[in-house]
Amino acid sequence: MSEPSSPILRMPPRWLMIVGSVAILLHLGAVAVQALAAHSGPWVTDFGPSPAEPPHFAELANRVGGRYYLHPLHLSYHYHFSTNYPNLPDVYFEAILRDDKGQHIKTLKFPDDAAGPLARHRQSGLARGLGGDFPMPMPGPESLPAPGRELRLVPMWDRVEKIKPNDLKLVEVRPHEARREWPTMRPSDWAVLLARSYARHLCREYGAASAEIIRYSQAPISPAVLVVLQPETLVAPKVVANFGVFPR
Amino acid sequence: MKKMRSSQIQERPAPARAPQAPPAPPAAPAAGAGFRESWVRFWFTPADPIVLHALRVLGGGLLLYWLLGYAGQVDAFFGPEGWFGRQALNEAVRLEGRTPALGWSVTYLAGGNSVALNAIYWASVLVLALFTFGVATRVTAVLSWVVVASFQANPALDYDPDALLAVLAFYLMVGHLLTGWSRQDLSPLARITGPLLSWPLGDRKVGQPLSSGANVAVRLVQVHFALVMVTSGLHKLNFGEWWSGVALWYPLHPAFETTLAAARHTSLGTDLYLALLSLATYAALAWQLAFPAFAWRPRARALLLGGAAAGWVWCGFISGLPLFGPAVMIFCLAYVTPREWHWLGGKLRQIPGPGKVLGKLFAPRLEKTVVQRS
Repeated sequence: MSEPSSPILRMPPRWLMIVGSVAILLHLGAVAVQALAAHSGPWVTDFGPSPAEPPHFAELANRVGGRYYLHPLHLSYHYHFSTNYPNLPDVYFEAILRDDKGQHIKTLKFPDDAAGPLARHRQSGLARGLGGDFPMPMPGPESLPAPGRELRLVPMWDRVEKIKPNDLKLVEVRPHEARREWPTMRPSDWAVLLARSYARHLCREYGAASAEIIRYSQAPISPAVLVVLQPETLVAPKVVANFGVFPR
Repeated sequence: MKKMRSSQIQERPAPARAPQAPPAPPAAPAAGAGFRESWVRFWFTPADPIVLHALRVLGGGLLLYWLLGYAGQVDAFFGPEGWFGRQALNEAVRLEGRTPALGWSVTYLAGGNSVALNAIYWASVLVLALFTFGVATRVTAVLSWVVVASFQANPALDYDPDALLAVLAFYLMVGHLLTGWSRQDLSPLARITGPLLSWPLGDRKVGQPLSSGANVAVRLVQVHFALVMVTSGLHKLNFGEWWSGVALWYPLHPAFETTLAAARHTSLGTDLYLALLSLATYAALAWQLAFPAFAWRPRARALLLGGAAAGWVWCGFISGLPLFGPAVMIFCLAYVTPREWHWLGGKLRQIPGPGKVLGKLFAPRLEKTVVQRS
């Protein structure tokens, strides 16, 4: 009894396999280089924690592969997931909406405790965008602007009261005016931009004339509380950072 | 690489020849030739497209869940007056060191028109649904990728799992673009658009044609995801909390929800609790860093899928990442071979009720196929 005939399948032609192999190598090479070209760290340096630059060969290759190939394909992520950071502070923000007479309309909290899981997930992302504070460099000598131009102001967290280190308000100062009495942090320009954008959106959404954006953040409790004698010292306080009032 | 050789493939025997002098013993194959053969076998061997179809159904379902999460808030998230509106975009472009991250998006076609934006949104949901159920897959695969890329263009919504969804959508598109061009049972039009109904609504007959394109796409998914896992694992080593085995403590004790008393309370005792925590942390780290070593091994299937399942539970219930876990599980299912999928189908057919219905979707494959090299 003869065996049933099996279908014959063709491998792709040789030229197609060569072209395909080149395409595969270039594509996966671009993906690998994109991952290598991400900053690493933060590492401990003589100047405090600081991210490290990527290897130069990866940075050079990624200027072409990342910008002109992966970015248009929306594949330009470096896979250093933010969730890999173990002890990122938890963040939520409130928006206090007021009318044109300054009367309080509504206070909104994001993420909203009453929202569904996906909605809360998205709102958490919006709140996390307001984070990312970093230390201001020590103020140097007074800078003078170029003729006809004004000195660029930088945002800085200042204490509302000297005795309350965790109650902050956003001010704009000349770089040399940053306080010297205590370590000073500042929000990223991106966070300030987002705060302004959120305020505009909520004002339009609720018909308010202005919105005050206040960020609440708290570092998680360290596991060292299980073993130390004075665990209270390891509990970080809630930090209240007021981005200020933004008009519609 | 040799262990990945499909047992379903055998070479066509050479035709009979006139008796000749006994051939010289074959020379040892050059190392380069061995690598070349392995490369060709790994990437271009025609494979059962059942894996690609399963990824399409599962991945399409996840993409639908992701996109439907924006329902009712489309204007807020993607409109010019939304959370990150047109004015914020203009300001972002002027920020030093910040490239304009938005790129292209079909949502821009709506301009400031809310009705048009919502129409684009619901059309996108329809596209993803059609793609998931296998309708005109060559066209809907491309449209699905366009949808996913468009609704991820907002930099204020830059979430970790979205990167995995973008990768999945891209390779599903590649797979459905490469598959089926040599199918003689399709009309020329159907070869361009893809069959009107692909698996599971169609194409379930025995002997579904094997495809090199399907194999290329699945292999790209596999290699890319392995790279993602190793990169993420190495990134974790930047942080002392992973080295000291306490990284998993933090999602278990969210800052706003944990008091000092609650943090210090352990029913297991401090030493045992910290020991288990550090073991679990190192297990998670080891799973990621060793991923390429076991992902392709059929005998390590329990480790692969068990780890993905554990990660899904963790991400969904502890870390508050509802999309990350399912995305990782779907990527891990890409390593399941066609033979294993059909084995699963056979097992499901033995379960009465819904199991039997699902099992019939996995039509049994021919055991042996002859491959002819060009």
